[in-house]
Amino acid sequence: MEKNNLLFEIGLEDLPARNLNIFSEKIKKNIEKNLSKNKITFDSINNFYTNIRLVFVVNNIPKKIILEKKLIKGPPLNICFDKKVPTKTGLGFAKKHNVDIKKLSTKEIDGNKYLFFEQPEITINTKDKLSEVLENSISNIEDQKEMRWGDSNTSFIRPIRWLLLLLGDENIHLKIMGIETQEYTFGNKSLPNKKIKINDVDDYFSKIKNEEVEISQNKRKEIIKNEIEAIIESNFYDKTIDLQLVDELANMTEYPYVFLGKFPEKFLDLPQEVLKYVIQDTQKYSLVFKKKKIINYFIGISNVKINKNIIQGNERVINPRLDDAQFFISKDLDSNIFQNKEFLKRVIFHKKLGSMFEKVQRITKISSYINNESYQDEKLLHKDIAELCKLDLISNMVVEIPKLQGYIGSYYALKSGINNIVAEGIKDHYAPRNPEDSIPKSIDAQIVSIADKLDTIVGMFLANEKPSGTRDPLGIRRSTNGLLKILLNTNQSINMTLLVNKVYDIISLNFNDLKKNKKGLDDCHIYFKEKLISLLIENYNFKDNVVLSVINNNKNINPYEILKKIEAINTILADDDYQKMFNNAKRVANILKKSDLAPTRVVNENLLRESSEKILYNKITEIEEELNSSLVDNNYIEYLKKLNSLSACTKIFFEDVMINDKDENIKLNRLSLLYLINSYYTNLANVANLAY
Amino acid sequence: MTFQEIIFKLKTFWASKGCVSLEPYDFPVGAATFHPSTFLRALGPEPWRAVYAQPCRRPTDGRYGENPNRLQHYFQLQAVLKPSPDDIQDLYIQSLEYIGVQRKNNDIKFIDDNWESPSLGAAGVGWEVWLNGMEISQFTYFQQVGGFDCKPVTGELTYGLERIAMHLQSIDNLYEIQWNEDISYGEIYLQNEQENSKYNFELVEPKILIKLFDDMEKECVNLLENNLPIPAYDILLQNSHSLNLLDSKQAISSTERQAYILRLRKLSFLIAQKYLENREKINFPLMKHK
Repeated sequence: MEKNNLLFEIGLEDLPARNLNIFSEKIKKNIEKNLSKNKITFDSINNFYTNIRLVFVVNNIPKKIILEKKLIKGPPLNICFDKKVPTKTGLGFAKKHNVDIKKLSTKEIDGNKYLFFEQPEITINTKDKLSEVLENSISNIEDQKEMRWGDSNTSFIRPIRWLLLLLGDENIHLKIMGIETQEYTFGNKSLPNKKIKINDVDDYFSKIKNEEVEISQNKRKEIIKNEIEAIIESNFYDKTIDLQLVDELANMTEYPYVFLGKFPEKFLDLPQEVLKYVIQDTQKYSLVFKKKKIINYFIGISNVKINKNIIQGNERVINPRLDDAQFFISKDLDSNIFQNKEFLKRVIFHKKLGSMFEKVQRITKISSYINNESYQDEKLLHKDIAELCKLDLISNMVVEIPKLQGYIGSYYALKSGINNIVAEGIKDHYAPRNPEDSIPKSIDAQIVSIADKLDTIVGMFLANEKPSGTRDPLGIRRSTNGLLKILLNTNQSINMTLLVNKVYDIISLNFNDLKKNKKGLDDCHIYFKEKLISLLIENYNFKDNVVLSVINNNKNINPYEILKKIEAINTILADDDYQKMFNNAKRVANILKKSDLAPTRVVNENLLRESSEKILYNKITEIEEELNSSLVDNNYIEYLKKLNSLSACTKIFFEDVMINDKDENIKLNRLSLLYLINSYYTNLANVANLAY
Repeated sequence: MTFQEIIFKLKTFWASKGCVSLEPYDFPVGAATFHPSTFLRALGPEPWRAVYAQPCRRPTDGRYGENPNRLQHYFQLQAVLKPSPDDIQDLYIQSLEYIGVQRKNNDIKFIDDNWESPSLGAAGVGWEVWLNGMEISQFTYFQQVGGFDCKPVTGELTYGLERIAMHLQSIDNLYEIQWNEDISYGEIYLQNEQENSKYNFELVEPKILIKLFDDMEKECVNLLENNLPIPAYDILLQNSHSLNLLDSKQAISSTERQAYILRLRKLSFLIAQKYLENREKINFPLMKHK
């Protein structure tokens, strides 16, 4: 059968550069799905994109599809006709296959008669299905904000300007979302706007090359990366390239030309974060570093061959932006933001939780509590950090560019001679700012970071602002992830359950309304627990049952200890020897669950009859102290090892001893022995849940 | 090319594409979008094409005439096309070529930048246009105005005239822009920047403006009750400017500001609704130009 390649090009006004790959993949998946749904076979689909086109090539698609004739079994005959009159069931089957019920045949299978439809051979012209396949593929794209343009009802990510559709060397004319497909494309926007006729799929790829278009996103990335590397090498700059930026730049062009630009050296005094914000985030230039410091050059991308005009133009843009930053910073330094703590009263944190001034007071209290309970650091620098960390919110620079909060405060702190650790802490108390970011370096900043985040999260739950669905406008989810990252990595044992209650107490002091919201507090506890569980399963890749065996077994959530316990269990999980212990634990738990007596930890030695129960009892009393001390020392592997040494005696116990003795006292005593053992099986984690 | 020539030429270009050439609006506005020729005309089914230059006021952007790139009073050139034609982006690039910015040797990028005006209840999808890295225009497809879905959709092209002039005249200081061959931008507007910056940042009297805002809001409601959305809209513009002045004087907190914006938004919804009703009553007279 004759097969061809199908080419579908959507010409658009400029697409958003971010996540263009995801968008293109979604359409590709939709095309695959819709082709399959229409029984059209194909080998594979290639997708390409630039800032103004989305291209899909479906490889080896047949011009015609023949569906062989086949028999389709229907319902039993006796329910299809009632005294020769067709029933609803019979008519329904006929209707489903679009045929008169009289034309259906009957066949006997195992003595029962059934209604049958003989479906004839069907030929489908691929061409006839394309309109439906492509329209469905581009009109239903998940999670995609759409827009309208002109006078039509069509909506898409950006206005569609042309559609090119070819099947082999045949131009297919049809309407997709009300737009007619054509046999031509357009070149790079920097060239005169003219139609380019395309004869077949190969013709498309060769012609588009001559139109200043590199259709392959990967090749455009290569070009940008190679050229940046060449500039770096020839100038001996640091070999740092932001690949995420390269991706975005590749999505902003049809053919990328790379150039090196310069800005006045005087701006290098600005904080690195300000330079990064202006040069990289807003202007989309690649920063240039020497010895890990930004230098006064930048690398830019043009969609047009580089000339002097383009470089000068780009150079001219940076100056006023940096000038403005310098203006704000010198104004701020003149006024010394650290002297005006009262100014924070004018900055609202949240309408139900008061001003930033009040937030700072709470952060200070929470920090002290955390330090007393866990870190017990004597320098008390966290106090200074807590008091100063929000003051840059009233600075001109942060009011202008809120994203720079913390960085600016830190910079101003160093300029005004504040202690280095405190200055770093002002910046770091926001850390981790994103999933890739690390936790604050100093313990002082860690304390304040935990306090700040908890105040926000608990406060928002009390103010009934908990996150719902995918929306997280107040950044609660982000704060929680950051908070847990610190708690899991700080090497400090912090009882989060008690801490959350303390934060609740501190907030309640000033907000009586919120104090009444006990449900909000409960929800917050549950939220933390759920988040911790999903973090350990998804980010740390621990098994569900391992995580739950530890977390559900602890009344209080102590993330650091929980992590260490899980890690200890993980080291023994694959060991068959331990599997036996888990099974023993399961058996013990089952017996205790079924018993109708009330055993305790107290075993009466005199009631022990069989030697194997005596041995088991002796063993547990022998190791009890070691078990308890290894738990206190957080030596969890040792604990598990010791616990495992019970396995042999437990096994013999089960072989030799009948729990259900006629004598109730003996029975209860045996159950108490198991109860005692079980208390150790469930102390670190409920190890019964670890059995296969 | 002088500043005034840029205006002449852009107006000529868009006039040749069927835009009516209009004059600036006579109430203070923060952007050319606030001109009734954009805001009100974007509502309803009637076709519309217009071009005009519009002085705009953004009190917080004042720098006492000391920053070579920032102004509290500046000029936009605005073209609106309703419905937006299929070749609108190419027309825009042609308009740049018409004032001497050739596409073959300038890097013209369209950077994703959606627009939203909470006080006008308006939102659009569009771009910042970058000329060799410098933002020179905003290009927006209106999706919603005054809370109403736009149908047909208006395409709005807003040129930042000072930036374009600086590019064409290859200068780094906007006060050096040649307005014509003899007179510079600074000679005309420097003193204006100095005096108004002083007013915006230092001498705005919040009490007066807050009272004015309240009074004018009542006036606006009264006009709407009398079915007069066009004068009501003028009052909305005045209040919007009062709010910007309160902002530059840092007289209100961010929550208070939010509350004022909501009050403006409420009015803009009512104005849009009344305007549409009134146009419908006279059978959308511009439909005959469709």
